[in-house]
Amino acid sequence: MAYVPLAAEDLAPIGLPGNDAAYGTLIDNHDALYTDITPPIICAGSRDDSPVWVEPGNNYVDKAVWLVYGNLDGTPIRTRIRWRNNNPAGTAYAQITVDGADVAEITTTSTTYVLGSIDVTPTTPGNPSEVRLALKGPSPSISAVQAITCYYGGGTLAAGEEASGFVRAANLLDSVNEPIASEHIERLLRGPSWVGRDRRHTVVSLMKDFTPRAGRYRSSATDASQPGALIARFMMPSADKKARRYRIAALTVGDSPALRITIGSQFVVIAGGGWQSTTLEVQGGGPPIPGAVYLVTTGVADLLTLQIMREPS
Amino acid sequence: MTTGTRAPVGAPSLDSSPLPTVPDLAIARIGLLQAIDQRQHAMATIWGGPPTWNEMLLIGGATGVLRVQVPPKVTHVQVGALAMGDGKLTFTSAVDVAGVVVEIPGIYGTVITPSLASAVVVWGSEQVNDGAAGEARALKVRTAPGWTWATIEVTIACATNITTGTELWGVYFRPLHVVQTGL
Repeated sequence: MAYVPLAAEDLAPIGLPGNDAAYGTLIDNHDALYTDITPPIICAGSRDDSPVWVEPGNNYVDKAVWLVYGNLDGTPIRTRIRWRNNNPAGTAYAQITVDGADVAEITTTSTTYVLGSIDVTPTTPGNPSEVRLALKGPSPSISAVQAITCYYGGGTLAAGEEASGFVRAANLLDSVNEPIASEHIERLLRGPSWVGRDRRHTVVSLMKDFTPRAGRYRSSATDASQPGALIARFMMPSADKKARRYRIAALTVGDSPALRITIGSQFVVIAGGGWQSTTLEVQGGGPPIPGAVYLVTTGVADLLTLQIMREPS
Repeated sequence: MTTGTRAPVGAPSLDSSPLPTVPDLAIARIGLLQAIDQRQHAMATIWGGPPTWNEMLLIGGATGVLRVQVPPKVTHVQVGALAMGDGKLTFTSAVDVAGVVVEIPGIYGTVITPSLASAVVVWGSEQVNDGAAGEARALKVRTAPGWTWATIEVTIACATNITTGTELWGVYFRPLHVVQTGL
């Protein structure tokens, strides 16, 4: 079952008002959108010849980490990596952990890039949940990931109300001359809202190797003057026709890091290491807005992950 | 069901409060059904599939691949990039091997070392067609897709005209939602 768009005239009051076929399509679309909508959570890539996320060691080492907001319904968190074994011998490993509890592992012996698929269904969905990608060789293998994509899996419809508030419509109450309950109409009106709130579209993804090292997204004490060192830039998509609020979540490590994130003429400051987040209302309906990230530190600090996503209001 | 034409829509903002409410009893109106249809269509088109900015780390001479989520019915994306130096970016996909070429203006030559502060945002065209390489057009990512999301691979090659300094920091993908006909 997939979404089926209706033509404008399908819902016109021609003949018997409440065309049962068109109403049945609305009901089917309600359920289809729940099962089919899979927006992105994070998207990052690097060079083929020298990927950023590499691990030769015998034990798992965290290489990338990001957050999943919403997902009260516990739909699968789908991570797709493009990866290989950088050594002709042995087997390379990758592991996804959600909130330190739910774990899935894959392996490869391929020395050319292949797609690795890791699905984890959270057993106790949180808001937010933290997802970690860990790699290990082990020797003589070298696990090398070139690209990471993570997105919400489609939902599986169950009877009753989901934790997000979504209620399936099923193929009910669409026979000719059936009365239509107000609750059913309200359920159909709210369906896309529940899905949008529970699967929050990430519009900006910045990510570097989880292991701090020289390179992008790093600042040192010599850059401690305000507003700090310019460590990243991006273009903020205009995801709505009107102004809307976005959540900005950032993970920093190092000596007293403080981020200053600018989007157009606005800015927010996120101080302190570890995961921090705030929200900012951004104008919509126009072209993409230039954004920049500055980092102040008393020593050396790194930005590991920055996600900007829709925040329900 | 009749044949019609449906334009993609970017409104209403589906995750905003207050949520729609229907009193009991409500007057039966076709407008209620049209509102449902409008909200579902917004989720399946522009509102549910906005542009994204994605991390992509490349230096001149290197190639990489991004795996990108593409919304329903989208066959082409407009590409953009934050880059510095003097070179060009070539975006290709499995269904567009000719690809889209975006020039990085070489305003710094070989003398001044490019920096993040001086990096520029460059844009590909939003023209939807299946032309040849070198034409100003969008990148084709899928052929005749259905109303479901897909994960597709986009290969990005960063070529440089100078010895060092050309660098790609991130890429912008704008799904091009077009009017669907003959439904």
